[in-house]
Amino acid sequence: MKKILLPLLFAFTLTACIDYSDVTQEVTAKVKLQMPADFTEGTDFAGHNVVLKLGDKTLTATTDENGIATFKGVVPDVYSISTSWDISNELFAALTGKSGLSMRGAVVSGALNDQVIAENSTNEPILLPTNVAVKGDIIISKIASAGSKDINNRTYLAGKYLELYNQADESVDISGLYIGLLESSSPQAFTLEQLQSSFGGDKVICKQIFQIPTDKTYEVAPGASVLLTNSAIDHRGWDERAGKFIRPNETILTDADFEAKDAMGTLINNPNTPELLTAATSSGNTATMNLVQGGPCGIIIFRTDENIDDWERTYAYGKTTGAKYVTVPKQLILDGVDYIKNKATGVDVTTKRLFADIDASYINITSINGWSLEVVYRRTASVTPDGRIILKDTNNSLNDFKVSTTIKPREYDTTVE
Amino acid sequence: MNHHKIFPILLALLLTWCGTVFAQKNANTHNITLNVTEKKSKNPIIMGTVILSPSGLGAVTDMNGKAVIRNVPEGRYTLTASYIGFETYTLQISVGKSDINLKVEMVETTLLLNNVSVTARQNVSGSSTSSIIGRQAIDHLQATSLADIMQLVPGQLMGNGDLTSPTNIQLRQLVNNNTSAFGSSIVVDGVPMSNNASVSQGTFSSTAFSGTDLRQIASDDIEEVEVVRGIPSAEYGDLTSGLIVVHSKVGVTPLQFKGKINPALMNYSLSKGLHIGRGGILNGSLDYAQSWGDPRMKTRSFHRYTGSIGWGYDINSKWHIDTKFRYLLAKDWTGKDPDAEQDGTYTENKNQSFTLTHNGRIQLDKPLARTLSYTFGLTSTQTDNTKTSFASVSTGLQPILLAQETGYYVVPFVTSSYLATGSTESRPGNVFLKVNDQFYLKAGKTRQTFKVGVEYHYDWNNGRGYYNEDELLPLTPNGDGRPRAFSDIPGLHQFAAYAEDQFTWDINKVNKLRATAGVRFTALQPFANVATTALSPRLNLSFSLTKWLDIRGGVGMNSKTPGLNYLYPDKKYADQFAAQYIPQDDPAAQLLAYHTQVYEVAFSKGMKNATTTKFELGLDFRLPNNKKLSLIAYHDKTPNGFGPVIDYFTYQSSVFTKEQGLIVTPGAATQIDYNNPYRTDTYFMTTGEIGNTNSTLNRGLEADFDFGTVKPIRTSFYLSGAWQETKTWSTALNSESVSASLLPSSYSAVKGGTTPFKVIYPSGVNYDKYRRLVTTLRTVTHIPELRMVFSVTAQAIFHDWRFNYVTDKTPIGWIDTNCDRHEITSDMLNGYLGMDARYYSEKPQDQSSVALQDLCNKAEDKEPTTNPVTWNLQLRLTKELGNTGGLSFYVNNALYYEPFLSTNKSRTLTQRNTGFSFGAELYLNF
Repeated sequence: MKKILLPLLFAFTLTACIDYSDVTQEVTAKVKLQMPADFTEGTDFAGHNVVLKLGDKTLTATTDENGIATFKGVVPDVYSISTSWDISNELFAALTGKSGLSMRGAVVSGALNDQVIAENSTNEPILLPTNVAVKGDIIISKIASAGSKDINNRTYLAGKYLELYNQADESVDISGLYIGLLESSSPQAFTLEQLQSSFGGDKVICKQIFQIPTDKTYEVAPGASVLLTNSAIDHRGWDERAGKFIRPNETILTDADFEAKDAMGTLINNPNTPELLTAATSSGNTATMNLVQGGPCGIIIFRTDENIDDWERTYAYGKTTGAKYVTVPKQLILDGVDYIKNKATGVDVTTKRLFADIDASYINITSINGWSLEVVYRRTASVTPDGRIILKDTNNSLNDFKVSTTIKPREYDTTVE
Repeated sequence: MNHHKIFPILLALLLTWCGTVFAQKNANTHNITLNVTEKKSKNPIIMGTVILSPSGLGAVTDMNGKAVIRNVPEGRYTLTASYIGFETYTLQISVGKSDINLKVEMVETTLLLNNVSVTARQNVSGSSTSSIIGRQAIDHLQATSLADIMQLVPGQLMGNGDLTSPTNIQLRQLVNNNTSAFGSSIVVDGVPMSNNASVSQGTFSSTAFSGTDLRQIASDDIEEVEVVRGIPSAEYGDLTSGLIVVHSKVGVTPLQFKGKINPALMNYSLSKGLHIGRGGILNGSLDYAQSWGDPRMKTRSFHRYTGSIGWGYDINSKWHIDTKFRYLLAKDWTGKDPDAEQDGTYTENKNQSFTLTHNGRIQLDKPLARTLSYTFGLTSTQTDNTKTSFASVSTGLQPILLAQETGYYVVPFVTSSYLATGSTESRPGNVFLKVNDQFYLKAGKTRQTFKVGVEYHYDWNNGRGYYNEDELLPLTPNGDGRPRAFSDIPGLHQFAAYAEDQFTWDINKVNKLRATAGVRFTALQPFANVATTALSPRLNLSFSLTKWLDIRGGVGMNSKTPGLNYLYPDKKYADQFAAQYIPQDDPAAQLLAYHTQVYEVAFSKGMKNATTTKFELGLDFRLPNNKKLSLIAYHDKTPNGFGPVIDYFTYQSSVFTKEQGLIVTPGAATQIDYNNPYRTDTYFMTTGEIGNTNSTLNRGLEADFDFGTVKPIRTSFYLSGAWQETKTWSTALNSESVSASLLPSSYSAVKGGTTPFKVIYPSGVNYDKYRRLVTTLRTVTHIPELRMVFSVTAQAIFHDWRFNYVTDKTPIGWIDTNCDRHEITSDMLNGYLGMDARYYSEKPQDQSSVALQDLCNKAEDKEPTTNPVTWNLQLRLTKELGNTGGLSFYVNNALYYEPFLSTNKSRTLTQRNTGFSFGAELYLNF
């Protein structure tokens, strides 16, 4: 008996040493919406979806009349939290007191990246600040910057392009519209914190700015796109010697609307394509759009009557040499897409270039170095009875954009996801 | 000093002296007759070398093992007899009033003997600081080429033998430096391996491999290597940093097969030394080596085939000759792993070389011409470098730029990547002639050995140079691959004369003074407009202060002539875009035009020899129980190494557009109206001139401690170490274009990056500095009864430091588009430079300008980089299998210590000490 008792006693002693309270417990998390500062006349708290995201896993909860979304059974970790909803012109006018604006409704959005939800956090709800943005007519709808590889496995970068899209019900004249390419250096020229401390968060940093010519009106029909490229040719490249296309999957950009003319003659320019003007550049030796294949490749569009040569130029934060970037006033921006680089260790959200009121999140391609023919393009939000596609525009690129290697220029999904 | 005048004077003196030499009469002297035999068999040693120090007198034994050293003045001497495969015989003799007959018995070198020499030996004080590495050490090291042998030299790092990349030698230098590598001289059997005729395609590159590739010299045919780190004898020239003297095997040896194998390479050799009766001695060797680098990924390979035939012959009892013919075929290959998918891309470098060396030694036995020796060398090399790869056309438009004259050209273009082959055919050759006279004088307690001689080198290259297999589809279509025939380059003549005195003064039994004083004069291309001369005095001194302490010191200059590559640089080409009209729907009208500017780079007229001035100071301690400690401090400065001279010229190039300058006719070829350009830009271009702009300073302390043998454990201990510092900087003009961000966008975006002026900053203020402290402890356990020697080598890099110092920049001048230079004084720094390249104290209103304050920059990083301490352990074992052969093993990085460590400035972890490796060598005597 003693022989059995002793080992049992020993086993019990060890068992007593295990602290089961150490196991992670699921928690209930609450997120409370904070209304945009522009909502001076009222609030809109109830019935909005708030999304908790961790890797591929998403949890969704709807807000109550106090703007609180309650998530039950949340495993403590670091989450990104976001929300976004559309409001009509009328509701926008009622909540902000601003009326008479030419707009297609507005979107309220907010996001918190890297939010820790811990086991021992107090039951106080997490405050999610939101912004309201008027929905524009012309939006950035496609960024094809990844480049490709030909059948000899050599890289090819001339087939890159950008696309803008007219969401409005009527034609829009885009003459004079500016297209800004966000700075793309590594490490980034300014983190969002540095932008805040240096410019009070009122500026966005661009490396190049292009402009649609102002020599005449350039009308864009409803549901039509504007194709901007560096080389308006058929990029499939017929090889006489081989008797085949050397880049069979590349794009045909012969009908591009505008072409950034290459002063150095390194790309083929199409004399029949109107010129996309260079308005400002921080780097020498190029008049073409420097769309970085592996990213980052953030884009903004804006309009201004000011002379942008007068805008402040800045070196990277803390530097006194190198490229001098253009600072663009944030309030002028009509649309912005934060396209950041994917790394071997995953996307680093701290490399975001745009504040959450322009783009609450970001988009990236799956490839790390590009050359993958990946195109970032907007999802389809709806299709009008006459077949016109309305693209998704919630100022939250993770919601609004998707990635494809087969989508063609001027093409969008015809079905709503 | 005018060297042009000195040269004829020296030549005249030499000729006068030669005429008088033979009229001299013998003094009161005696003959030493030696009978040299093998101790065991009593067979004569044929063609053994006998030297009488410090007289420098010597002889070679004849077919009967007999040698006579004639007319030896009275005095005390050290007699040494040496022969391949035998222990060097040493005897102190005193020449009195009569002739001497000596019987010398030599003992074969085996591990049965008590003495073993598997480390580098330091040479005696009073001559150059050098390390001598003998056959036994080379065998124990399992060296495959001369590159492996270098790791026995103090301060050099241990490593694994990998033959897949070219290796050069940097003595007392921590960074791979073009001039230093180019200026390391390797002398094989009396003939320097010349690299003066190596020419590379394209403009000067400070990173291109230069110097002699040590992999070419197979180690199995080497008898002994002397690595001179200090001030070499005046007999050797055309070098800056160091000298390696290689003696190959000469003498009767058994038929020997050797095989070495380790994960990175294999090496097999066969050698034999044969006595052919009255015909003398024939030596032959064949050697094959193959290396794949990493056997798991066969993307690189090296194959080496070497063969040599040597012939030693006595024409008569006073005239001995050694002739050797060598053949080398070395092939470097880089490409896709044979197991991977092939796309036809590869790089191959084939090097074939034929060398003839002939050395003669005549005992004239005249007072001022005791021994006359001469050397003749002829080398012819064929180097073919072929590269096949895809020319990328990532922008979709690739102009084919081949123009070799200045002008506008409508150029062909391609829009897709293509497979192309480019080759460089180089045919360097070299003739070397040297005549040396040695004689000996004795006066009282002083003795002097003189060496005087003359040398002539001729280097040429008659290769086809660079060419593309299809000139319309060039390998580098962007203009960097224009053909250049090396055969158009003139040959290089070099004359040199030298004189040296080895002086010994035995003041008393303790205090002795030894000195080697010499001077060397070199003239390069003496009658051409690029002629340059150099005078290099050299002095090594040693004084025995007490029985246990010698003080040594030296000062000397080494000088390396610029090779063909530096003297006759290639033309410079610059291509600027001129016009593009490529409508997609009208192929006939498509046009692409470029402007090509060709600059005939001036043959480097004012270029001087790269000259290194060396200082050394050292102490040699002779401690009880055969312990020895040697300390030496050095200071080597090369203020005028080879580098680019930054000098500008400007040219104009226009752009023509369809709006202005192009005459477009649909369906027909587009024409250019050259008189009506859309715009004309001024471009700056460097002249491509090469000069003496690279400066290097090496300082350090070397220590070598021989602890002697601890008899109970039969183990000897050696500790060597070196603290080294290298500083390099450039004295070339420090100039920059104005940063695009400071210029109107018309300069950067539209004009294609032109600059309105060049900004000048102070030269020679930025530098790169490197420091390293490395110690190597060797223990050698020798058990004669087992015919076995075992060594452990522990190397530690205690300090590994580098500092790329960049100072704050303040402009001191600018260069306008007329290439005129203007000075900026400190009171101008608050002013402006306009786009018209003029200075304005107030910001000009009628044009854009750059504030001079914006051209002042603060340096951002001023912290050196330090690597953490790393160490490595190597084990080696050699065992003789009777007289039939032997076996060696080694393990490198025996403790598999390959830590991931970061520097003080980076968080990136880098693997150190990579290279756990092991290998074996087997040799058999037949």
